[in-house]
Amino acid sequence: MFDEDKVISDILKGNLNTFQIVVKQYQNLVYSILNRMLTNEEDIEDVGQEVFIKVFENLKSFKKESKLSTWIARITYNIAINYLKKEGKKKYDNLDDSIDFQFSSETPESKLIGKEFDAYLNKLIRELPLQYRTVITLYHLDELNILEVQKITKFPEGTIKVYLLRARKLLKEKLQKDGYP
Amino acid sequence: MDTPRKKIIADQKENNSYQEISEADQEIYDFLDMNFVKDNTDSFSSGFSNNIIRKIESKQQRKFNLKIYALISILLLISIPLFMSFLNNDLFSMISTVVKQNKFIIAFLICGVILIQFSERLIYMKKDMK
Repeated sequence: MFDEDKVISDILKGNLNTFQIVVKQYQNLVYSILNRMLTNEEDIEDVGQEVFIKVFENLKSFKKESKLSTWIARITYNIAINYLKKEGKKKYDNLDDSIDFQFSSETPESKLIGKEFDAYLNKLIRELPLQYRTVITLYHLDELNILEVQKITKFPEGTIKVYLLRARKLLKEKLQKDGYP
Repeated sequence: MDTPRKKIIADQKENNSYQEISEADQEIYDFLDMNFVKDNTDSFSSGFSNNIIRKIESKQQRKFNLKIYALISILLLISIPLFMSFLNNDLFSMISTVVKQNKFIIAFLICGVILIQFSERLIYMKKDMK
């Protein structure tokens, strides 16, 4: 059983073995966010390490106003955004232009199933404008609700809902066009 | 845990913005949600957590070294004026006699320190190249 309070106090005492448990507990969460925000596998690994080092260094400032997972997700989001800025990639796409958004992925010749379909869906999500793919990724992670997504991204609640609906609609239309389900 | 679709419907109802959607759309949304709730099979490399612990340990070591260097610097700053107050001709002649008597030992110690520094750098360079 993962006892958040005990784990935090153990880490603050300098126990690195306990921190390793935290890394293992939340690495999938961090990976899921970075996997959608960044595209290069090596970048994901490097930024992932940076996230957990920052978590370790700032744990004493964690005020327990939110769940530890939300706090870690916020750090992940901020580091990924800063990384994109530093790399000279646009922070956000111009959403006025995305009204006519088109997926560049072509319809597969045959219906994909299993892992192939997962990879295809992941590819489609990665093609969405950054705001859409960030919001849809955070929202669909089991741990997070709209208020938590708001805490992480600092987008207004209404904006998150609009992004979420538009992103889902775009994916729905693309999958319908591809002949799914 | 609610499925994403349930979460979305609940959120929309809360804001009176819920609109009925067609059966065909509902079906594809359900299909989409079914795929969203699937566990992500991809993850970081197997040594990911060990790498982080190693990086944290080396950062802590660097911080500790910096503290030690700062402490040594402070001690030096304090001891220099103290040493200056003892400076006189007798002390200089005594020091020069000691240096003359032990010049080989002093030279050996200086060479030893320089060699250790060089070899350490060589080892790090080789590690970085790997």
